[in-house]
Amino acid sequence: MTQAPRIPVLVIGGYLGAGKTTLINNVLSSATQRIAVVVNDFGSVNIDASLIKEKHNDTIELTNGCICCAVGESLADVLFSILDRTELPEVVVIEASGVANPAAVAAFAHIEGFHHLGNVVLVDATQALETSKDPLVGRTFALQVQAAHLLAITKSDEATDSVISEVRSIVSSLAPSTPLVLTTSATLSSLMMNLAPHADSAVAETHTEFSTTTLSHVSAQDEQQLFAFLQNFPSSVVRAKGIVELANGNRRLVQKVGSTISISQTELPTTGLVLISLK
Amino acid sequence: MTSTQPPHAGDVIYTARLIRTANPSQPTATAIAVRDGKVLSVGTLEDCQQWGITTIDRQFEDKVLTAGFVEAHSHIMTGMYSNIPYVGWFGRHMPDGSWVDGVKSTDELVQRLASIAATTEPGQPIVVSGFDPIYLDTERLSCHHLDEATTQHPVFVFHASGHLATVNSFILQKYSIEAGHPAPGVGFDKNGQPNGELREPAAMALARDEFRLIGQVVFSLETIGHFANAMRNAGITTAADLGNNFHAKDESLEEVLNATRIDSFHVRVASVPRIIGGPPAMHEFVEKVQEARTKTHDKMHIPVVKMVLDGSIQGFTAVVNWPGYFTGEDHGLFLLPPEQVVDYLRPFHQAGIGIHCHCNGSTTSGVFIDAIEVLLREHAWLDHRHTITHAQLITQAQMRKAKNLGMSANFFVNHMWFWGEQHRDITIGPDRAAAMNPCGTADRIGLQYAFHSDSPVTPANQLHTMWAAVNRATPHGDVVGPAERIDVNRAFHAATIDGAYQLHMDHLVGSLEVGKYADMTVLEQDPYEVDAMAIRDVQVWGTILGGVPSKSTAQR
Ligand SMILES: [Zn+2]
Repeated sequence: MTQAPRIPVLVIGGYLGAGKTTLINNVLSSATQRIAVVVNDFGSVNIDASLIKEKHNDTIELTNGCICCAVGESLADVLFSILDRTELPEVVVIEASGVANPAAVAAFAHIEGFHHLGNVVLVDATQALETSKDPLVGRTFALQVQAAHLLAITKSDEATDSVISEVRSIVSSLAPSTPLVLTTSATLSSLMMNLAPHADSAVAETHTEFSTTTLSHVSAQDEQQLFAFLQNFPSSVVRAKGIVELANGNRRLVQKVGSTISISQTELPTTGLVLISLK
Repeated sequence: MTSTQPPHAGDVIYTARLIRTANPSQPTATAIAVRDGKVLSVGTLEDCQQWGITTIDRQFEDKVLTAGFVEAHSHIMTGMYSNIPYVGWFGRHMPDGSWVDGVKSTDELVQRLASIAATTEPGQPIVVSGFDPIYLDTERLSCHHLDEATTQHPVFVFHASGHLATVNSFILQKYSIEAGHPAPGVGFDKNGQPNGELREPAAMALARDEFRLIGQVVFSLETIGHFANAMRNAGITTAADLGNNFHAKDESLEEVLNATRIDSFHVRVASVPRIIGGPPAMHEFVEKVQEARTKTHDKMHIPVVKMVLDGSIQGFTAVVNWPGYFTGEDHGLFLLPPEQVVDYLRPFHQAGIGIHCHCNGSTTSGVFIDAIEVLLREHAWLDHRHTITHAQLITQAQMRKAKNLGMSANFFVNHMWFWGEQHRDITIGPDRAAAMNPCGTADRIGLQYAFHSDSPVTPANQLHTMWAAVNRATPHGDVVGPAERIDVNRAFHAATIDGAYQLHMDHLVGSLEVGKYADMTVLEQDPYEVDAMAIRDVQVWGTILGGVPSKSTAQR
């Protein structure tokens, strides 16, 4: 088996209008890694590709997926072509189409030369109640949520608290053990990029620069879920600290230093989670 | 009386035992005069001679000429079997005309592979396609069977469904596909060892080089040439490549325009762009299509565009109305958000560009029909001919509405033969299987319709689709949906003029009428005269395209 470096692949999913474009633009404008963005057209593109292209020239648009026969130019070919480049990207971000199952897209991330980092699935606070019950696409919505490794409720500033809590309960009943954050696109983008290690993070000792990310609304079903969430952070996240609310309303003080995680009861108000990562 | 027009160089009259024109006002004839590639006159030899033509070509005097068959939904990929050996259960003609017997057992597959291996340099890939285990009662194919064929070559067997490949141990080792491999879609035996199955393209792509080889063949210019041969051999004179991207890039458009222009390219192509990108990109898409249309020629047209809305019934990925699938898990998903369909289509509808929408399931047919209703309320266009392609599970209510809206359906009636039993017993059950591809009902309702093969999904052959529509017979001798059978005359029109209509090309092709292209199918027998069950056995001599005969290379 070859031990060449494997490029991490992040998949961004979520139903039409959930904010994938905004998120990708945020990622492109703020991330420090070399990123290749793949706009997945294996079915459709619900995204204005030109908008992405303005910001960053390393965007690949899938153009000719063949549905009838499943061969032809596909996501696989795009990934192969990325490996052919002289300067490899440090992270590949794939935008799944608004009706795609992110798990099906992520299945391509196991091609030699890549490894699958996870699926971030966005849920539109203003639309999710309708979408989840829609007779035509309700199941699509459910499959997307169930495919997530990290769920993010977007556009929460445009929805009332009661709607948000309903959305939250729909989402957590579909994917009870998946971490769920309520956040802005900008914050999410830096979280995601912190999840993605830099290509040279193996030589972490030489780093002196750190970046800080605040996740303003982190919630968890229970302690186990919170623990799993923290455990899933990659090694580039060297510290995490904050106060997080559980589903039953109790709060926990969370600390992660290296791989050591501590969770303790607290009466203090929630603060969100501050992440410190190697830059 | 005689015409006062002077003759043109190349004027010719073809005589035949019988000419079937697909023109109801003059359904049969015995001679046809051709001038400048077009029908000058059709009727008796005497009628034709009144144009002062002295060249009479009698080579078809004992044959039957018909209006050239129109295949309104096929794919250029049809040509791939010239480079990738075919190993399906049904025997099939290859694009070069050679006949390949069906593979009826795992043992036969192994023998086939072993003989390919014997003439292939060790290490070179052996990629075959079309394997169809649905009719095999032998053991499920695994890497161990393939290892019996060769251990010196990477072997990649691409299944007919398009959703599965089976590879040999050489490939498993080459790409380190081992126990515990994390990729979804890698199959394991009960001991946890990979069994050679790679499910879905994502897993197939693990076998990088072999998977890529298929893609390279599918999109090569050579394949386009093979496509033309396959169509000519089947007697097809106009064939749609339904869903490509040629219009998007000047170079690729130029290449295809040139490849289709050469004399040896014996079919007219309806090159149909596939809608991709988001709704905001559609205006530019329309402009590109309009620009590309200005460059087309006699043998390449860009008449309509295609949208794909769902998957397939046999793959359980079509979106089906209540009560859903009969057995098996429902994987039906829309490929575009249904609420955006109107936004996608509006620019095309407003620009006067017809739309063919792939809808296998009943839910998707409904979404497309509803979208067209919205567009017609917004913007009147009575002659749109928007077409539901496949339309396999369209309901009667949907058909009445589609008819009222001026829409058409292009039925995938070959399914009744290739998968009719599976639909009845597995996918949707007996009642809905009997109402699949409902030609009879469409006639009763008055919905315009045509037939297609979706080649290479089923072989391009309008005699076969006619046969399937007339008989609805299955491989085990059953009839699925007898009330939906139609007569041969109706089927002949569905295989010719009705497809031309859906492609907005009925003023050019689809029937033998004065002024249209002199495109004909040359048959050894008359499909109207043979037994209904023998329609598909009628032999094709070849075609006449724009007045120029081209003999089939098909052997049997
Ligand atoms: Zn097709």
